[in-house]
Amino acid sequence: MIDTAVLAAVAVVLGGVVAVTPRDGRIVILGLMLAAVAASLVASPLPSSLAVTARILGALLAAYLLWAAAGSGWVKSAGSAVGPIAEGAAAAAAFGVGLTIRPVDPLAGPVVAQASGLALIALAVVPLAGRDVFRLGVGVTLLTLGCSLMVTAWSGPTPPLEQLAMAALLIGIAGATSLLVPQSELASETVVPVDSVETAGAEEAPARIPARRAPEKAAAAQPRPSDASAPARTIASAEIEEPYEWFIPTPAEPVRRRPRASTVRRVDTPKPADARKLAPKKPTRSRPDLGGKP
Amino acid sequence: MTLIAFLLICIFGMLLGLLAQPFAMLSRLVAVGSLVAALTAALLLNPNDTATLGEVQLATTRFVCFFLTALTASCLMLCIVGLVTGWPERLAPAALATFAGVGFAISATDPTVALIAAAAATAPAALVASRIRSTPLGTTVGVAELRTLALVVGASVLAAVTVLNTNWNADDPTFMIAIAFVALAAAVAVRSGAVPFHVPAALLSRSGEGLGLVLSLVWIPTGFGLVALSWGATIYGVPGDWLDRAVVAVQLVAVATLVLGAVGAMLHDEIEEVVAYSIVQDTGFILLALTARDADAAQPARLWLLAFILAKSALVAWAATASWAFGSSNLGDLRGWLRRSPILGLALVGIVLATLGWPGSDVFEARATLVRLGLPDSVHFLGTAAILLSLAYYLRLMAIGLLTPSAVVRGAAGDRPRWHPAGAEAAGQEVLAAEVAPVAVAKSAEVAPVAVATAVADPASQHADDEGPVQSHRRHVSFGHQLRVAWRLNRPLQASLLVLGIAAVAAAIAFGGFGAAGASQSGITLDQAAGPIAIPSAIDNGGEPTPEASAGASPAITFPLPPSPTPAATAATAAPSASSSASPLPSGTSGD
Repeated sequence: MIDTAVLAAVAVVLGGVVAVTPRDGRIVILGLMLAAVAASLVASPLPSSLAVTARILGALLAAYLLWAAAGSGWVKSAGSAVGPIAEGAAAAAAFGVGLTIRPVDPLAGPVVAQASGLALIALAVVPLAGRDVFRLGVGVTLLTLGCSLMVTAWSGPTPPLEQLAMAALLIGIAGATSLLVPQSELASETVVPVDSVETAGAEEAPARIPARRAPEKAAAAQPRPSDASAPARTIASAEIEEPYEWFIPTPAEPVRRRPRASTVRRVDTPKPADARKLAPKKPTRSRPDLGGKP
Repeated sequence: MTLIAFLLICIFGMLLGLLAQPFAMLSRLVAVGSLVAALTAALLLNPNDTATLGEVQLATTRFVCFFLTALTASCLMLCIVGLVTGWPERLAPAALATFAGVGFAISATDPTVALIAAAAATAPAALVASRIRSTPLGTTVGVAELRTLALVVGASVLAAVTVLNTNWNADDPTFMIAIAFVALAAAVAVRSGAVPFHVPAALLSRSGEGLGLVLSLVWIPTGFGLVALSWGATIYGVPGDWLDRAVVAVQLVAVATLVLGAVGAMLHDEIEEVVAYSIVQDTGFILLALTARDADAAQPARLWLLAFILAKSALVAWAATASWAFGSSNLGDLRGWLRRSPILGLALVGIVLATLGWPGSDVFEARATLVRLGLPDSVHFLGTAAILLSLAYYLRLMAIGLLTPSAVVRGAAGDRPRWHPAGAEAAGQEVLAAEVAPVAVAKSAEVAPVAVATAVADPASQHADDEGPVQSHRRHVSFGHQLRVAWRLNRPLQASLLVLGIAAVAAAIAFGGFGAAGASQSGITLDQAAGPIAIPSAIDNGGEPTPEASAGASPAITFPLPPSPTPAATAATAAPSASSSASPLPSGTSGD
């Protein structure tokens, strides 16, 4: 019968590969959660139920924090530059190395803990070298999980408080990542159709505007293509050439809906600054006939 | 149980503070209330408290109590300053989370738990840095924060494993200890912004964080450094070529930090940057304490950490107050600030005293001891050089303050108590409107609106009006009215007095006041856990036997001996209270 620790170690490595490979943030978070939950089970003997519960709750909360930062949707990782097969091969190689080397002899814990820990550390190297904040947070999480597995392998069973401290550390890392992901990066990935909403004075507003963006930033944004034609790669925060602004919560500006035709006031109302920015750079339409009035 | 109460207050205070963030007034109320509660719990901590949680014993010492009290008190004082000068968003919840982690770390008897908790305590720095996350600067700072967190986690775990494990499969058993030492020193250096790694600290100082700087640059490095220093004299005191080379590398970083940090503080013109580089310079002494690897360096290092927390918190508060009072943080605009705000000048003098002391004072001797034990004899002059360089940039700040005031300074309010007629009238109208309305409405629903309108529009006319509820109420509250007007008009004075108070407390701590000197004699719990190797618990607890020692029982955690101890190391363990000359690495020669 296969040991639980071996199965958990394989799950840890699979979760790690899933966490560093895809571009969809939701899949990345699921991979991280799988790795974090399984990492608590790579031990022999299994930790107490209290310790396992703490680690699982910590993993779930960490995943939720990242998920919440992603707006339950479209935050994207930069993804792997070499693809899932190469990442899997690298993880498998590190796993094999971890099965063979003996820096500590005899090992106080299962050898698969050392192998899976080494695999996670290997997977974390490339994300840690990048500048994508979300992917960097994934790398830090994987490194932490790898280090915890190393502790299990080299020092043996750990007390429940250590598991609790590790869970708190994972939550802290996830929280820090979710707080440091640039807001513009999050917002630029979340779009909702606003075809039926139009700012007064701007007859041809862009078809879509970012949903979570401040009004000023929304006005400055360029029209985006539809989701189907949007490029699949993630825009790194450093690549976004938008006017960055201080993240100060701005009170939501009331969106003016298009008035009914019967209630349209045909007066020369000056355009709001936002609407002026939002308006496409086209030749302005000629003013409607006002019946000879100035 | 007192320790558990402190930890719970910190955790719940942090959660409540985060939940209350969308509501400005409520978040301030929750933050100040939580910090007051945490400070009360820290003051009531029992120095001999023990509790077992998750099969690990948590225990307190006098120093643990003092350290946690100093952290919470400095945070509370800064938040009160922030109520006047500008509320530091998210500082209080982040600080409370950090204090909880530090509390776990310095009270745990298990090294792995202590180091993991210390690493977790560094994560809340992101809460403060997140305010600028949508700027290019914020992205850079965020990347630096996460990488620092990765280094701290890796180094902590490696150090914990190295300390616990004796079965390394290596020819030279000190090799792994050297790697762990380098990793831990690198984590301390990067987290505290030592000179090769000072760029994130400098960037953060340019981000307008104000009071929030203190969390990333002072409190978190201090807490992590305290845990990292806890077994330096025992585990890393083992002689070995690899370890000696590692110590030399850390000494180079420390020297560069001591010198170049002060140079950076002298060359920059923004007051926040001066403060940041000043903090960076003084973190060099934490690295020196690491390189000392001597039991004699433990007490000065702890005292220095206490003085560092209070003095640098006061310096950050001073900078925030000066920037707020004069509306500029540029030293060119701040010409003549000392003439306008002499109380802030006094506060700066207190901060200098708390940081440098004078010959014979506790903090001065602590710095001198760390330089003597942490550096080779040939570079001991760097201790004096560091003091002189520090004095140079402090004197520069003073000299700029004595120049002819610039237009910015002339236009500022300054420290002098004021009763400006125009300001008094404006403030008086607000107060009068707030006080008169309820009474007037209660007494006469018909007369009140007219009376209130008259009172607010022209307070002077009330002197001629001897009739009516408004006038009678005005006479009744006139003294309180005047006090409130004076309170509103003298905000700069209040802020300056608060900063002066913080500086006075810092100076008192630096000179061993409030029992700081006695508390620094006792180590943290981890020191006592390392007792079986070199430092018996009875000696490390300020000469008072611990409950375990008095009961004849061994400590809860028995540390393994370092691998292959040499005869010299064995001799050192046999004579734990011996001077540094009997230690495995003689003082001043550790890096040679």
